[in-house]
Amino acid sequence: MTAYVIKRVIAVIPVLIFVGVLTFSLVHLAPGDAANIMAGDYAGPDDVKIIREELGLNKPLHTQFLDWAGRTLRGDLGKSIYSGKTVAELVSARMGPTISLTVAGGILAVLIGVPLGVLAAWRFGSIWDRAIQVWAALGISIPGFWLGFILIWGLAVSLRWFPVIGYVSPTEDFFGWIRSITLPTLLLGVNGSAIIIRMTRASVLEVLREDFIRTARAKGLAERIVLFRHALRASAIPIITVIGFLAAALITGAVVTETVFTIPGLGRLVAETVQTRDFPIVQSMLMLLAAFYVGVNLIVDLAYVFVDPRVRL
Amino acid sequence: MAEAIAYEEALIEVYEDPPLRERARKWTSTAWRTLRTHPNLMFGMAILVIMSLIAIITFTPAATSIARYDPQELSARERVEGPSADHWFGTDAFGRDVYSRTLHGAKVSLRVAASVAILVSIIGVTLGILVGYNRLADNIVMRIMDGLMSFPTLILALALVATLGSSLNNVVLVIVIVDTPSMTRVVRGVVLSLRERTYVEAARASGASTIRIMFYHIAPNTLAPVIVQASVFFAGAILTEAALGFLGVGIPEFIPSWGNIIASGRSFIRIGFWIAFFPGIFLGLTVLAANLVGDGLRDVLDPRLRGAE
Repeated sequence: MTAYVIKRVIAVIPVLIFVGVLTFSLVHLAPGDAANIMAGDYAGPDDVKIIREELGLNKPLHTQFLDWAGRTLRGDLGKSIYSGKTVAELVSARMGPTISLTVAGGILAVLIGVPLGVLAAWRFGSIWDRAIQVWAALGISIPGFWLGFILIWGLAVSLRWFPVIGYVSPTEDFFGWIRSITLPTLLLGVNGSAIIIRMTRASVLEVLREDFIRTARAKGLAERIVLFRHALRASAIPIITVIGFLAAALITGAVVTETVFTIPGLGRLVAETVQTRDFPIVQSMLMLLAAFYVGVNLIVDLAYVFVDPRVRL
Repeated sequence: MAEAIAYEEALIEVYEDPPLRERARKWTSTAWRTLRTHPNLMFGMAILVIMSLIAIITFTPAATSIARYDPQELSARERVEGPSADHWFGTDAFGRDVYSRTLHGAKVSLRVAASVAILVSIIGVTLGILVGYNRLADNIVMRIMDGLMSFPTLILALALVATLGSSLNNVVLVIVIVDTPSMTRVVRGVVLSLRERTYVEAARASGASTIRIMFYHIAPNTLAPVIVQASVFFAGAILTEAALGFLGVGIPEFIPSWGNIIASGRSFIRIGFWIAFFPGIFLGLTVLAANLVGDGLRDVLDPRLRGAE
């Protein structure tokens, strides 16, 4: 088991190196001169020169890479070419809303997704199964930003139950915070639950056809025990895998959701800096989010070891 | 003797390929039976056919026969007007007809989706077969693919579009880059299992070259999973294109894609919900249809995976 864990952790290193190389190359992939692009259409040659020097784009490529890699490893992720703020400052200022949203959205997605997925599999072919499948199909097909728009229009603009946009910190006003994250959480939860439902339904369905389930039923166990103690546990691996997907869905969802609801979080930061082509921030955010995603998938892989004894062998 | 000849003739009749017309008829009846027994597939196909027809017609001079107005036609007097007999889906902030723009949006969104699905399939199959057959290529290509897959797709797409610049071709290129790794992985898996099959061994024993085995014997058998996967990417590409448009970095604003129209309606939520509402219905319906077709094809082409992800 220790060998498996070590092997899995070591496997992450080349992936992170690749992520670093790709992130670094981003500025150099730009057609023409990245400094020109960042300076915009109205900049003079002096502005471009300043940006080029600021980012070290006038140095040889390998020196630039080593400089960048060294800084990144030391935790210096660069600073915005517009506001001058460091990535650390920007990220720490904007982390709160994103954590609130993604944690709440993730929990809601699991709370809706797993029970509905199990129900659909248990009542395979019934009206319940069909209704849940329609829900899941709609959940993966309806774009999040459009659903967000409808939620704002229906519940915030027309009924005035929730604020239309913005975010209130929980330390400032707890109930205001609940009201401000309800709609975004609902949006993330609905979209996320669709993926979980499909995965849970498929894996529980497969397990329910196994011999040991027939044996459990034959020896007279209550259906509840068969379902939750035998079937759900055996289908845990694919369901845990989906949490990796959910992490990606939530990161992506945060960018869209925070833009729809104008919430000043990390997702909105990504969207804003991409629009203004603030490359140092775009690079760092790409690196950080990819590292986070790789980390979540590593944890998911390690979680298998505890759930499924076969992986330990 | 006569009996033997009759038997031989009967055999020839059985084993000879039926005429083309006969085969086409058989194929059509099988396809129709499949569609009838899979209502979701039929529904999805029907929606996709309708959307494709809209997209094709809006490409031609006959566009005004269904789209009524020029999607770029401005009208200062008719800004943000609700749905009416003149403007079925209302008008936007510049007085442009939302219905006409939505129909023209089908052209842009489906073009992106179809280009992505086709390109990803071609690149994915080629790479998948290559890495399934060559250990060195496998090590190099799959590590790059793993690296690409370690980014959340929309984030990578955003960063790449920001770098390469906003244009229709760049949006297609970027979505192809983020989708290719999954397709390659799927094809590689199929190739690894196919190359151990007896029929491949037989081909090798009969002296077929590796290239011939790869593209003549193995490639056609990857078709079923590739078609299923391509339909998923088709749906995903529509969503990604729309999300990029919504976030302001996709296809240039003046081109009416569904994402761009929805994005333009965002600021008018209080006074003109219709600007974003109707294109969203078209977008959601098309993605739903593509997903239903994907699920349906998976059921039809590989019954073992029924109900699986």
